[in-house]
Amino acid sequence: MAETFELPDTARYIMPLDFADEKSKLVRAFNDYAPRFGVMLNGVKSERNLPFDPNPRIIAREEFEFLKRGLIQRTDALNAFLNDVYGDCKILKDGVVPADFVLSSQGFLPRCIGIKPRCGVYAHIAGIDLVKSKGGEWFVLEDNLRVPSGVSYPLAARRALKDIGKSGADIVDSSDYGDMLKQVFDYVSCGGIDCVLTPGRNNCAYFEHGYLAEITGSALACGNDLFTDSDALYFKGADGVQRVGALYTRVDGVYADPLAFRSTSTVGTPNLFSAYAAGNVAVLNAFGCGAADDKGVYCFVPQLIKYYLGQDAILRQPQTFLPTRGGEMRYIVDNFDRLVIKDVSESGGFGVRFGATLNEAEKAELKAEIAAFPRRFIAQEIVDIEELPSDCGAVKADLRAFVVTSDKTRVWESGLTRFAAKDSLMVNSSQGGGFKDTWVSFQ
Amino acid sequence: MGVVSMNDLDKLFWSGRYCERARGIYERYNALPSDNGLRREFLNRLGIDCRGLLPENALLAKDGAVTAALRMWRENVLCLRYVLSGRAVKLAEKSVNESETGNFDNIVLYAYAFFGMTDDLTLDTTARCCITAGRMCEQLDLISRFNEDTSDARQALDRLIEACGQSAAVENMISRCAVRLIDDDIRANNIVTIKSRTPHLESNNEFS
Repeated sequence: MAETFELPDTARYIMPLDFADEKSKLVRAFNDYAPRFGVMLNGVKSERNLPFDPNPRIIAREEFEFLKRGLIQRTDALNAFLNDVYGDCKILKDGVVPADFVLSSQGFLPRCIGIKPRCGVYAHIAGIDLVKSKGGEWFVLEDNLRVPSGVSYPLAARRALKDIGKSGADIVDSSDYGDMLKQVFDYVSCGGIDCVLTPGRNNCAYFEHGYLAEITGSALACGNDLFTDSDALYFKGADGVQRVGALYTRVDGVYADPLAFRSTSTVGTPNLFSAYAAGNVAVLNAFGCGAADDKGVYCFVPQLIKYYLGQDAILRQPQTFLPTRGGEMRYIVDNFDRLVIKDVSESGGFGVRFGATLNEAEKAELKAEIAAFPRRFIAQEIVDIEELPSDCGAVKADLRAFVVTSDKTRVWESGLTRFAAKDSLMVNSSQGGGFKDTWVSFQ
Repeated sequence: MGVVSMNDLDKLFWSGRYCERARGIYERYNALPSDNGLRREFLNRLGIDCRGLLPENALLAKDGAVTAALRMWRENVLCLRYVLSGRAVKLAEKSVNESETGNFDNIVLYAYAFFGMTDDLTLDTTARCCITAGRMCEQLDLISRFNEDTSDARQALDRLIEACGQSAAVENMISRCAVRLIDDDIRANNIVTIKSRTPHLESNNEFS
């Protein structure tokens, strides 16, 4: 029997704040932090403040403890999987996950085979996307292990709450994320300064990159602010060159080093991978994390948990179908309208299509595409997502939980609650919509 | 707060310069009597062609000189959050947001708060000095355009030199030659020529 949770009585937490009077003040205070996010609106990329709904999502302590257990279990299994696939490949030899399935993943980087990241941790920061069904049950929709973004928005929202002289009654203080991240830096650092690597001002999550550098006291670097010498990484500081001990890269691994991976990348640092492989700089998240970030591999996470931890998965995931698995292609074609089809190599909400919203020609085209490239797609049952109250009515919302791994795995006691744009089934910041702060209650 | 990268020196310099430009122009303009002739002369001195425009619009409308300077200040500060803190971003953002609704009442206060905050709270000496250098550079420019007091120009130049003395990176960024020429101008009481030197002040910045 799956665990289900009821929506807490929001008013109980909000009313002590006199919230009704403070909402517009809070939104203004939040917007003063210039919390920009790049979004696609009608196919055009634009930058705006991420819309913020001041009504927080509140999760009861007991419910969040349940999520924490599940998230830690999941992240530990994913880290074990990454250590294995770039190491002894036991799981592939044992046939738990098809070898060709993993090896053909776009996120799998053959160059990482045999290279151990510092302290054996691949995914230091994981962003796990969850939704709660109308029945009160939580489901994992995605594991983001490459460059999960979004943590800065609830952090800034909580800071804005303090700025207007308020704090939530009976809720956990979430301002410790910077300390959690700093602990990871300290744990893995090879000696030297900490750095956040950003693709630059035009990146949709640039706000976050600056914010994370600010709260961790790190340098913010673009690819050309760094260089390597004798397999060590250096930062071109205004006051001289400094050795980098830990690099939190907000650039996808394949773009982080044009000499090792995509030669066309202009946002990386040549030879960064060599410095990492030589053990002279810790890279967060480590190169190769994409192998476990793949939406195809996601289907096998319950098996990974069983295999590595000997446990049943605490958190459920919606029933998922693989076109490559016997008989499932037929099911996908026959039940197209009930399913959401996802392109495994895409992120940011791109490549996600709801069968029911496509016209006949689009369906035929997508079915043909799936038949031609079955490894590129997964299909999932659609979860009837719980709706949360907001200033613009009830909205469908997900929760991105942030799991941080250093000497042990911890879950940040808040999260990014994203809600869909009006009339959209898609909950993703890159696709419009907005976010709420996530409050975890003490009780 | 993080370590400043070489590439961000330029942004620090210009964040100081644009902030001072918005403050300096607005404060001077506000002190003028409401006489359109005087206001047009004011704009002429800034090199702003205001034909067909009300003087006020040339400065304070959406694309006016003050609003443009505020936006550029914010653009630079947005890239410097990691060294100047979110509070500095807040000031720049508030200035732009308020100016876009036609409210300039707090612009001067925000600018002073920004400079005070960076002086007090920015731990990185180079970042602090770089902003001061940009600010003094702009002050020299405005003092020259409005042919103001020699002692004000002297004070601004001294503060610029002091900032260079505190940070090797800033010293490397500022042209010694331009500083020397401005010094000569001040000694000769030749304030109006300073504005032709200020564009060259930053010319030693090999990274910009």
